[in-house]
Amino acid sequence: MTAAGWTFMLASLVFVWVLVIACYRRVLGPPRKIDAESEEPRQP
Amino acid sequence: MEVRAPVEKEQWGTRLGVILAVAGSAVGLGNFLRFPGQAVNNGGGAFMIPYFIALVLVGIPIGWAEWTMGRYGGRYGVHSTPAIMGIVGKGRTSRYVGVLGLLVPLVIYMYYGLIESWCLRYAWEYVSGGASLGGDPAAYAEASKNLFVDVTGSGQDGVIFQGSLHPSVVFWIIVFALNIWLVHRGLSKGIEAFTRIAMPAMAICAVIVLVRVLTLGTPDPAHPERNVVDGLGFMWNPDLSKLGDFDTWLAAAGQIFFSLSVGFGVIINYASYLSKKDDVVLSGLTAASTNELFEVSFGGLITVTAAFVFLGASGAAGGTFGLGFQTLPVVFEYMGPAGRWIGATWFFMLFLAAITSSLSMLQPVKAFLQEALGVGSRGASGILALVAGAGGLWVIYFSKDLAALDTMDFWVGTFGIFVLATVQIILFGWVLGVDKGLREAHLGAELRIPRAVRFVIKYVSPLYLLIVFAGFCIQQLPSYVSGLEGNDVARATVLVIVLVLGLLTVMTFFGERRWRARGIDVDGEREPEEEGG
Repeated sequence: MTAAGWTFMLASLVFVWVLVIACYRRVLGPPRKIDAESEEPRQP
Repeated sequence: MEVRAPVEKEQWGTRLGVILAVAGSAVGLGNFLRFPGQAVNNGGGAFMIPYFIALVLVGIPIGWAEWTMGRYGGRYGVHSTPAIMGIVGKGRTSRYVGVLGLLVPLVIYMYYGLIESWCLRYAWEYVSGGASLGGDPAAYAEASKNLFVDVTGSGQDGVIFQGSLHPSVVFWIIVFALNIWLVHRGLSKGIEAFTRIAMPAMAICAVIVLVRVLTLGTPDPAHPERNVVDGLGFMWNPDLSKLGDFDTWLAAAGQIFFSLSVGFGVIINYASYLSKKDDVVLSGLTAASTNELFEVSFGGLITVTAAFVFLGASGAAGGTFGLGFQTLPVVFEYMGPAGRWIGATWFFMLFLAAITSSLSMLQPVKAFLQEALGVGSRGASGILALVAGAGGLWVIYFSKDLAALDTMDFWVGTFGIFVLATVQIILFGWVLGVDKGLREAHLGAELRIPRAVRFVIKYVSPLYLLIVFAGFCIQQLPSYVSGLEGNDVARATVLVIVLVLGLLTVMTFFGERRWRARGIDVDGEREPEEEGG
């Protein structure tokens, strides 16, 4: 396996895992709705 | 007097449930078998560049559009693709094009359910010891092929109906009954409850197989080049010259497209059960990322690597059926006693991947039957079983060279999906309007869609799809059309597809009358009420 092969494989895996972890942290965490009208985060 | 609601109200139990259900629909055999083959043939690691670009430009935006359109239509009180597309497209033309959103999942189920039963039978054969390929390594390939022919009946038409009840028919009946039962139980108690168990179970199975594959080392000292690291290299070493090849970009877009279940009519149906307060943006992204996790992390590391370690480069080439059902059994045989259990785990994982997908194909049609014909869950499940079962038997009977299966897969599972997805993204971006569509998407959202996506959805995604579709038509359509001339089974199968399309169109006609009688704004002339009924 070449260095480029390792690079592509690890970069792809990191991209996918970061995306998955970020998504599920938000899904399983407390709801953080954005305001539909202003499209800005709603103030508490 | 008790008044019975014309359509039984269904809803998801939890937010995670709907995400896993959509992800389960997307994760299928293609993640584990088709993706690695596409990558190997299109530049290895370099394939991931157009692949991820297609994910961002086509997969995720179309997914968001489908989630949004589904929830939007659900607020009018309907859950079937024709009704929802009629509302979004504001008229009859869109409604009848939306019939494709029923044809696609129903016809794909007819053959996908059969493939699903193969997975279960293979798993059973491994558990019971029936998948042994004998003691002669030189004869493994032939024995594996014979096992495949026995399971699928691909040697001749009707072979699995001859003599005593063929095991493949028994497994198909079990799988078919399980699908219908789970769909009949409803969204929350059936599909959601099953998916919440099946998805983690699938991940556990995948991890078990992955760990075994990555710890294989160099199993044959006579072939030191056949080792795990070089197996990964066979899959991931980039051939950057392939990036200048149009076919690579076509293949990447096609893989993303089929992998994410966009253009199936499934996401629209599933999202129609959400309320205005439910998020669709983060949920859509999470479902897509879950699919990528299975595809890249498991599909990208297991299949080709395992085949390469035992069979070398020639054994690891190829894709889908050949790789999954003929090559890998040889690999498991080489693994020795452990291979039996790794094989069982592998095929059970494929079965779980398949059933979470097949369930999603039945639900849109069941929902349509309920709201178009006014029948209850039991009646809709019965009609669905009748039509899907008849189609399944057609595919099983005409098994020689898998001709019926292949025909349905091309005309509906490929061509039909392209057409439906293209129509959907145009409806969302140009008829509903991208600004209104994204405002609708942001209702209840927990994530803001970047502004650049407006441009992507309106111009880039449709153009990308049209280019890919044109390339597909130029490359593959002529051979399939000419192939019909000398193949009676293929022609008859096309006729079956047309008959099913006609049946669904007639039902939509009567459904439209029923929807209007219920006071539903089927042409989307007014804004939806707060919550659909």
